[in-house]
Amino acid sequence: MTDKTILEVKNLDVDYGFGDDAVRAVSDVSFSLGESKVLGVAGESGSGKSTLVYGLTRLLRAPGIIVGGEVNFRFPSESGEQDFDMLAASEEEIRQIRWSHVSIVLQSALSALNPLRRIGREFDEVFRTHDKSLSKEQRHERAQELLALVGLRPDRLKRFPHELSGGQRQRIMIAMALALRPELVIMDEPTTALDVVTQREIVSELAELRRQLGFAMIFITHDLSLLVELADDIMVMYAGQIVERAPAQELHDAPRHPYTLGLMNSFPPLHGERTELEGIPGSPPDLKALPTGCPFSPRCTFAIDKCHVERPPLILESGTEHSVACWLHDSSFAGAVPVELSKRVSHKTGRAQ
Amino acid sequence: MKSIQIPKSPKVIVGLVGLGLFILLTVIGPWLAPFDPNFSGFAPNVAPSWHHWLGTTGQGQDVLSQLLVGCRSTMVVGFIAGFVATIISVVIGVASGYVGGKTDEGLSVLSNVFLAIPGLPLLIVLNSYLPAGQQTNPLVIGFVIAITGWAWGARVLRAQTLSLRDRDFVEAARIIGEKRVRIMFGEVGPNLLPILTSSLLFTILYSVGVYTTLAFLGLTNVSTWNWGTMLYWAQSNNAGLANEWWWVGPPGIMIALIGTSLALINFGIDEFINPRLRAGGVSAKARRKSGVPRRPRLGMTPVLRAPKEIGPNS
Amino acid sequence: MRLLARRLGLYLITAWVAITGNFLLPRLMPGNPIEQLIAKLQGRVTPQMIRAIKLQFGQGLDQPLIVQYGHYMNGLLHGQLGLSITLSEPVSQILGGQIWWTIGLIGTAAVLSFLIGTTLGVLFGWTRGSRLDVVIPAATFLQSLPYYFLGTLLIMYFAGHLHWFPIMNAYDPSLTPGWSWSYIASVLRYGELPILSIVLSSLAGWMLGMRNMMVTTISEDFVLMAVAKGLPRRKVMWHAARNAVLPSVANLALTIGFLVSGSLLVEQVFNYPGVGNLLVNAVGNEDYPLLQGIFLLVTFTVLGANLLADALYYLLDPRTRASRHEQ
Repeated sequence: MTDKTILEVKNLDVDYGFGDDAVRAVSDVSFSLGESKVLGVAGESGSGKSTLVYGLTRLLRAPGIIVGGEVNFRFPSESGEQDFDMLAASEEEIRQIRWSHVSIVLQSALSALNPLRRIGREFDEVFRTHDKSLSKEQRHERAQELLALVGLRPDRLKRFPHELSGGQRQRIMIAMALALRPELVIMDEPTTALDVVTQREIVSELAELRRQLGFAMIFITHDLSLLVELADDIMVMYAGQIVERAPAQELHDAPRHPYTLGLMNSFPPLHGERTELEGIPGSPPDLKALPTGCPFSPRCTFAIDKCHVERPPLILESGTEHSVACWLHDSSFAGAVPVELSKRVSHKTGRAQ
Repeated sequence: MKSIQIPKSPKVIVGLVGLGLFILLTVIGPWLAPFDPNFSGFAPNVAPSWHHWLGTTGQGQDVLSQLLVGCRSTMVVGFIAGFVATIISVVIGVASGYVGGKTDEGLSVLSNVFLAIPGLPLLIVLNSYLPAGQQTNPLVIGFVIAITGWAWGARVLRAQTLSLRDRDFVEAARIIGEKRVRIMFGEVGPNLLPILTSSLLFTILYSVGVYTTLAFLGLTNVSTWNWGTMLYWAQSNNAGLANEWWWVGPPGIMIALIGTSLALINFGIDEFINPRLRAGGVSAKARRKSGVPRRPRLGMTPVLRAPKEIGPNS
Repeated sequence: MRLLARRLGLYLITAWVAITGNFLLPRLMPGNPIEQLIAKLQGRVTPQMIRAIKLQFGQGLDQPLIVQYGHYMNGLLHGQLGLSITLSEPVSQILGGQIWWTIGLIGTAAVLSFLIGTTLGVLFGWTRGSRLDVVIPAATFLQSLPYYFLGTLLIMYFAGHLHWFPIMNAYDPSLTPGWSWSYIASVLRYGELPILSIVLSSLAGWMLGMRNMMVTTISEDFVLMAVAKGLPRRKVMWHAARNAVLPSVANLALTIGFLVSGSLLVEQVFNYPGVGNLLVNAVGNEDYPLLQGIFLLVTFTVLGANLLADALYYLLDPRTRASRHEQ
């Protein structure tokens, strides 16, 4: 795997509304995504994860506004690499890279597919828009190949969306997203509307597709357990801010942020012993009236005084790829880190904190 | 029970003001009229003057007086017919939607039949079957209008009741063991209020329209003054061809204005029910000042590199 | 297909209700219908009139209601609508002569109004938020104008004042009807203002409804997907419009009923021949057979148009067709 970066996001701020009514939905988010890597983004509803990805693809609907930061793509082209400033590009330039370099899969395929059109025509249109050199037969062939990729029979092309099952529709969305072999596919909770068994099937199919085709993915979900198998890195968001980021396995085995811990404990594992489920006390934050200090502090069982006063910055734990925004892990914290938040990862040599 | 907010959009306010003015006119109109509308001793076909603000008719009657007096009949019949029709549609629509089953099927067929039969011809025919003395009685006409106008509201209310029936709070009431009638009026009812109001306004609009149309066709009592009757007389006297705009114009415009007021209020309610139709609540000027494009372009989320706010948490 | 069959069933029931209502109502009036009618006419009866009335009701008045009903239905199926009291001709003949004017006028106006209105609605829905939004209150006002008022205004200004159009009638009175080119040209010319007035008054309704649907449709996910796929703006608008137009087609059926009602007024204002004029005169003269005949005719036409609109909707929306392959 090369170490090429295909997406770089720096200090992105996204608001809903403007002036006095503005609500910050994404606050100071920075990350970079490497070629063929999978970034999982986890959090509750309202954590800003969807706003983040729609914002960085400029697909955010009104009243969303991007008020700060940079979004830069880096796509391979004939002349080597091409830097693409998403926020400064013109409409025509953006239209060129849409779908051919960046595609998207939405949560509900039923509402994402035009109910009046057959599946085949949707594929046909995508090809016609971006590659005028293909003939009708070639387009049809390509569409059939794509369906085969996701394990669907070619006769599905003749169907209307409402004639297919949820799982089939979602697979079609994935096939369509891969139609032009983009470098990046963004998935906004693609399995949330499906039953658990189909969810797992699709996630493992996605992993296989990625191995085959080598595209990068940003996968949004509120179910952390899905990400552990699929993602390379996981980013946990709360109230529009990143609260923790780490390689997937490490986040799962050794979560540092209390919210991450809460999230993980909220979902029953499909295998293993049955433990009592704990939710996270309290309710999701009101973005219009965030508390001072850490936004999670009102619900945090480990909160100290400092948490209610000052917002913790996202700090990279030295020697690792693990960042967390929590005062408990800051060098200024004199007390002992709670046991649940200080597990050691077996294959890493870490220094005792 | 959630509080009932009156939408504050300018459309609604204009509509409410308009409606208020018309209601006021209904009450004090005849009192304001300078002359007896039936008095036909003035010089005929005189253009507006200081003496007759809206001129005179072909029969030498004062147009302004007719207009002011006519307000009452038009509004009263229109409103009564509208209310009666709405009551019918509430009873049929809510019962149909809530009770379901055979009742629903039967009532639905009834509604659809009334909906499919064209209103005005039915109205005319029904009216003509009445005994001669009753044919031009405004109350009777109002009643007949109500009979032909309830179907649309019933259908809308039925649809809304159906969607509300399966909601949690209704289910809860049912489990507790509340009586069906009580659930219908106590739980489902209040949530029907926006659609009900919209339906009521539409039906009043329809009734006013139909009543004035009947008057225009000469099928009502042509000696009772309403705006449609005025147009009837204007048409009979070929006022349009004689370019007597002061006679033809005012009644028609009045009808249009009450219609517009009702429609504007309805728009406001529409936006309240369907938030997607709302304009977003920010003024154009504020938008322009901050640099945000007035018309949101799908796929081009605006970028404003404003300086980051210094807040307590930065 | 089942859906369409159900609609057809509904229309048949409605037709039956209309027919039966027509039959029952005069008979529900207390007393002998014949005497009732003669009493209403207050002594203005001529022998032909009495003959017409007797034909309408007199046959077998002493027979049980059911038998009379049977006669009535039988007559209907043979196209007999009775004899007009005032004109002493079979009602079906009278109607047959006049109905084409009404259909031509209303049909053309309805189609034009729908097409122009929905197109404008698409444009205004797509450009929502721009300066063009001022058109909404203007359209609302236009829609509230009573039809006959608008018609009269148009005549007053464009025909009477500017002389751009003829003032009234369906064709030049000096011409004789026939398949001559001058006659046809005259019909078209004289039809312009009436059609224009109908289109103007019903346009706003289509436009406003379509605009609302457009705004709602644009907020759906598949429109966002179209943008995400990199489709040009025009195409995205087209996709949204195609979906948004469906409820308008469904409403087409309803509005046909209103348009037919409106035709009564067109004919009054423009002195245009057609069924409307007949109806108003029939009411005035209490010509019950003619009245009933017109009512039945209008009802059947509206129901027929409704059925066509339903069929059109059925064709356009694949969701109405249950597929054999459905899960």
